[in-house]
This record gives sequence, C-alpha cells and structure tokens, in this order.
Amino acid sequence: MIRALALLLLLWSTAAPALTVGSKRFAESHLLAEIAAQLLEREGFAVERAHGLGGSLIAWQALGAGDIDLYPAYTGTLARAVLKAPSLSGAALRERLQAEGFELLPGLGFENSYAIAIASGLAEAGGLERVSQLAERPTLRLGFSHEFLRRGDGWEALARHYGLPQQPRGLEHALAYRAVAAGELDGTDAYTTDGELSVHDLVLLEDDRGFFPRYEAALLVREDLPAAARRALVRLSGRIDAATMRRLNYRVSAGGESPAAVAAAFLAAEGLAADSAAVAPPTLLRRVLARTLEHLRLTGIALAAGCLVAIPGALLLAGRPLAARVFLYATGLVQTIPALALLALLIPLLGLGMSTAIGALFLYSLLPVARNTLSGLLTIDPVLLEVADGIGLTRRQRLLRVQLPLAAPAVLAGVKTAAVVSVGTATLAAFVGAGGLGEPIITGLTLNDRRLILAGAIPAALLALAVELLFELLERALVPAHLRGGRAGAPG
Amino acid sequence: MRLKRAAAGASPDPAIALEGVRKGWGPRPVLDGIDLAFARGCITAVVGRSGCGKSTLLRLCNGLLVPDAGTVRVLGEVLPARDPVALRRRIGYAVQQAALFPHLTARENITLVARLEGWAAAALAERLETLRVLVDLPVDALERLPHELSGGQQQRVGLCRALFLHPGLLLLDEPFAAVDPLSRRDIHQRLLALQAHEPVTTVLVTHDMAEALRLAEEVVILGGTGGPRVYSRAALRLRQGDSDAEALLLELMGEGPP
Repeated sequence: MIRALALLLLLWSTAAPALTVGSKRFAESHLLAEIAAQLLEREGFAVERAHGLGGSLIAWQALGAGDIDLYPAYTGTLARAVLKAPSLSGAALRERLQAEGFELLPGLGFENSYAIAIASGLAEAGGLERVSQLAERPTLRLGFSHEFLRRGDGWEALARHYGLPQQPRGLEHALAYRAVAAGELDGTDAYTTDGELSVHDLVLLEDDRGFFPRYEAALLVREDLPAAARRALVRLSGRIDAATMRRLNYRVSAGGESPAAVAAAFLAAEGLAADSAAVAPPTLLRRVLARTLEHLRLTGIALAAGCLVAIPGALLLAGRPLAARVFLYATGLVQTIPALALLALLIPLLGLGMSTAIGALFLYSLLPVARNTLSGLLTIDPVLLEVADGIGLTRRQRLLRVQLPLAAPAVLAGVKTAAVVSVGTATLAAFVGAGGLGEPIITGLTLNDRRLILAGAIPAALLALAVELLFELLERALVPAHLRGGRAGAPG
Repeated sequence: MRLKRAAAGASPDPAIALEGVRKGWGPRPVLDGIDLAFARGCITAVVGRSGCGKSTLLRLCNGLLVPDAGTVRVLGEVLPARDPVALRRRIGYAVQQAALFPHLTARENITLVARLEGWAAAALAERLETLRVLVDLPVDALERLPHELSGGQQQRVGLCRALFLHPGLLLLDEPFAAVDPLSRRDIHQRLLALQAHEPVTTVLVTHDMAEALRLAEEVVILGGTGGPRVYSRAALRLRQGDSDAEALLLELMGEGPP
C-alpha cells in the first residue's frame, strides 16, 4: 500500500513542466514573478507558476528542492530571515548563495525597504530631506503601523540610532497615508515601493545614517537554470526603479488590474516583448472550475489514503488499548500542528506542490477516521462479540461479519468529518503551490481583490456543504435506519 | 476425585466433565473445586442465585473462559481445544435476550455460520424450514431485522441459530429470562418438541426453578452451602409436594449435599 502511495506521489511530481517561477504572498512578489514568467515564455520556455508561497523559508526550500527554478527575493530577507547572517550583503551574500547552489542575478533596480514618509508640503516648507533632521523637530506628530512599532528593527531602534525624541502613536497602515495627506499626521512608516505613495503627495526621507537594512530586489535562481533562461532574465536587471515599481504596484493594488496584464504591459513598454495582448487569461469561471477540480483531487486522494491507513490501523489496534491510545495521541499531536507549519515541515520530504499538500491533508484525516472507527468498534455490545465467538466465528469472520458492519455508521461519520475538514484545510494548499480553491483566495488577499477571494471562498464553502450532503446520502444508503445515530449494536 | 453424575445411570462418556475447576476474578473465586459431569442425551438445568457462577460455568464449557485450575472435557476433547472454532461449531450457544446481530435479518442470523461453512442453498433452506416449523416462527419473520421482532420471536430465532448446525451439545444461558410468561410457556413447549424431534444434550442455565422443573430431567443446584448438588426431576417432584418451585429451591440451597 505504501508503495502504491509512493507511486501515486511520484506520478504527481513527474508531471512538472520545464520551468517553475515561484512568488511569495504579496502583490509585488507576484508581479515580479509574473514579469519573469512571461519573459521566459517569450523565449519559448514552458512556464508553470507557483504564486503565493507561504513565506520566505517555503520559497527557499522549494528552490533548494528544485520544485521552483526562481523567485523574486530581497537581499535583506535572504541575509536575515533565511541565512540568519544579518551582516551579509553584496558580494559576500552572493558567494554564500552560490555555496547553496543558487545565483542571485544582478538587482532589478530598486529596494523595497522601510522608510519614513512625510507630506511633501511639510518637506518643502521645513527643508526636511533626511531622517537625521527629525531629531531637531520634537513636536512632529508621527504615527506608525503597529508592526513597525513592535519590530526589532522598527521605531525603537530607529529612535535610538538617530536620537529621535518624538512619541509616536500606533494606527492602521491603511489609514496612515490618508492621515498624513490630510495633515492630521506629519509622518509615518512606508515601504519604498508602496503603490499608494504614488497617489498621495508624500516624500520619503533619506536614511542618511544607514539604519534600515537594504532590501534590494533581485531574482534568485537555481544554478542549473538553462543558460538561455538566465540570459533572458538578466535583461531585467536595472530595468525597474523604485518609481516604476510603485507605479506597477499601484496598478494592481488600487487600479484592479491583474498582475499578468500589468506584467505584459510592462514588458511591452520596455521593448522586452513585442505584443502585450498575446496572453489571453482564461475566464474566471473556467479558472474556478479548474481550481475546484484540483481541490477535489487534493482532498480525494488525501482522504482515500487516510482511510486506507486509519481504518485498518484502528482494526488492528482495537484489541490493544495501550497501543490504541498511543496512536490516538500521536495523530492528535499531528492535529495540533498548525497547517502552515505542517506544510513547511513536509516540503523537505515531499517537495513543493501536490504531494506536500496531500501529505498534510492525509495526516490531518488520520485522527477523525481512526478515532471514530475505534470508538465504533469499542461501543459494540460485548454480548454480541461473545455470542459471535460462542457460535464459532473465527476472528476474521467476527471482524468482517459483525464488528465492521456495526461500526460502519461511526466509521462513516469519521470519514465525513475528515472530508469536511479536508475540504476546508485544502485551501491552504496554495501556500505550497498545490493550487486548489485556496489559490484565488490567497491571490485575492495578496492583491486585495475581493472578487477573487470570493471566487475561491464561495466554491470552497459550497464544496464543504456538498461533501456533507453526499455523506448523509451515503449513510442513508449504507446504514439501516435503526443503527443510524444510536449506539452501535444495541439490541432492538 | 469423586464425580457427581448429573444423569441417572452415570453415563461412562459424559458430554461435559469438569474436574477440580476453579475460576474467579477477585480474591474470592466464583467457582471453586467444581466436579461435575453432564450426561449425553438429556436436558440438565443449572439453577442458583445471580452471581453464583452459573453463566461462568457455561462459558467454561465452550472455551469462552479458561479455568484458573482444574480440567474441562467437552465432547471428548480436553480444553483448550486444538481448534476452538471447530469445537464451538459443534456446540449450540444461546444467551439472554437472544443477542441477535442487529444488522442481519432473522434468516441471516440463523444461517450465518452454515453459510460460512459453505452449505448448499437447498440444504440451508431445508434446515431452516425444519427449525422454523419446530419453533413456530412465522415465515415473514425470517426477513425481518431483530428489532422488528417480538421478544419471544427473537428467542426462537436465537434457538434456531444455536441448533442450525446439528450441534452435539446445546448451551443455553437464561435464554427465556426476558420473555413474558405466556410466550415463555410456549417456547418451553417448542424446546421440548425440538428435543423430541432430535434429542441433543442440553445445559440450561436459569434462575427460574419452575422452568428447570418443567424442562430438565436433571437439576444442578449451584451456590448455597457446599458444592454443587445434582437431583433428578423425579426426586425433586416428590419432595416438592404442594409447595411452589421457589420454596423448594430455597429449601435445597439451605441444605448440604444429598
């Protein structure tokens, strides 16, 4: 059975296309990956996209395992979050990455760092250009996002570094720009490539004493990337400055354009690709349908595998209370691992994509199926089992003819629970590039596109309802009325 | 060791022989030093208060329980049997409240083991019909699930299941306790009719002395002072006189071995 499972997983993994471009779950990453992907497509490569990977470490591991061939990275993130060597930069960082089998292509031309933004009127009137000048202006009203106030490299460290006297207040990032623009606030924290900056009349102060770490954007690729692909991608280096990136980001986040369309327009404008209308994205309905099928495949395979392990497992353990308890504790422990962490743990074993998602869903389905099967077996009236022995059934016959049929309602209830939970949890599969209905949800969250979120969330909810209904019908068909819902095996 | 013969004339090859049997779960054994033999070809009742070890005795006879000490010999085989499943298929077994499998129809309950043994359809049908008539079960009851049958019908189905394979020994554990008195009387007559049709060595565990006197040729009194005592029905009838069965039982339990 394990061999069959391995074969199944192998089938999924061998279906990998020529090149896969990954991105993390924020709009800029998505957009840059899309630009790289379309460029490679123009060069004649078959390109698969793994958008919305659940974090830097997941993207890093996926690159190492060869599940993706490149993703847009930031030097500061690589040094701090991934390599845990904050001081690494420039040539030393590139060398270090080379040792891992990766190459950081020359920078795209911009940095995405924290910065302090103030209203342009204030900047002109007061001659404010640099962060260090803030020290002489203790009455300035500053407001920062809660994250910036809390971060180790946020406000407190900044204030110490520059000797800043202000007492800032915390507020929602989305409100901060508006408050500054309306003159209710003098300054706030910003990302240097934030699309919103291009609409509000704000100026970024120069980090003149080099406090903020450098987050230079560049494509991180595997060393075994085909030379032609590398040549194409290097052409992007230095092509995107911060203003351009802000403009592109704004078209996605506020303008409501799809990253694919914005990427195509950018490539055409830069003369990197001839025709921006070449790629016609599939209609929303067709995409949702394809994602739904993917979703069903994910949950179906995971659930089937879970039943194949949990039901026989529970049958074996039914006569061994201690082993049964250990088994339930172990599967219960798996249940307590947050889905994202479980996915991250499985990537080194199963790689990026379907197999990891199926692996996680499989592990989650074990507990409900096993626990229900066990409790179904244990609540059978012991007199019935004694009579089964007494009239001369073998252990096997007793199991198949008496115990299993009587435990069937409980087993079915367990499978139903596992199925409904799986359908819900499978939306997280998109974090590891496994697709499913989580893909539009996560992309929608990334791009702040409510329509896209609903395009994933509504089918997912309907699917969960449908699964519930299906199992109710199944129960009606398989379990005699008098055994439904009640205790298994109570004599009539 | 002196064996108490449970049958008049002390058959030399008893269906069941217990020697020095002890069985218990706590510090005080339920059964201790039990020597008993059950002769072939008749009904023997085992009577006593609840908790005196009647059911335990029965479960020792088909190997559902293993004695702590002593030996049990059943149908010529010393337990534990080399093939317990084969032995149990030679022993009919029916318990209180019938304990029919709730997911199987009456027919499926009755024929379960025979089907597993690979009986031909014709043989199954013939045997089923014979037993159905003998216990007076309506034809349409066969297709019903246990919870759709009356208590009396469930007991008849349980009896048919126990007798289906032509057992050499029938063990009945208070099978009629949960049936109303009128149905019980009827089932008693059916059991006697079965016994007349195909005599089978039967051990009937009951707390009902009247039932024992009606059905059994030999009565074993378990519990009370001293070990188990064996009486023939004729002797008990003589002693009973005008008093009722319960009074007789109380009297017997109060005295030592006969």
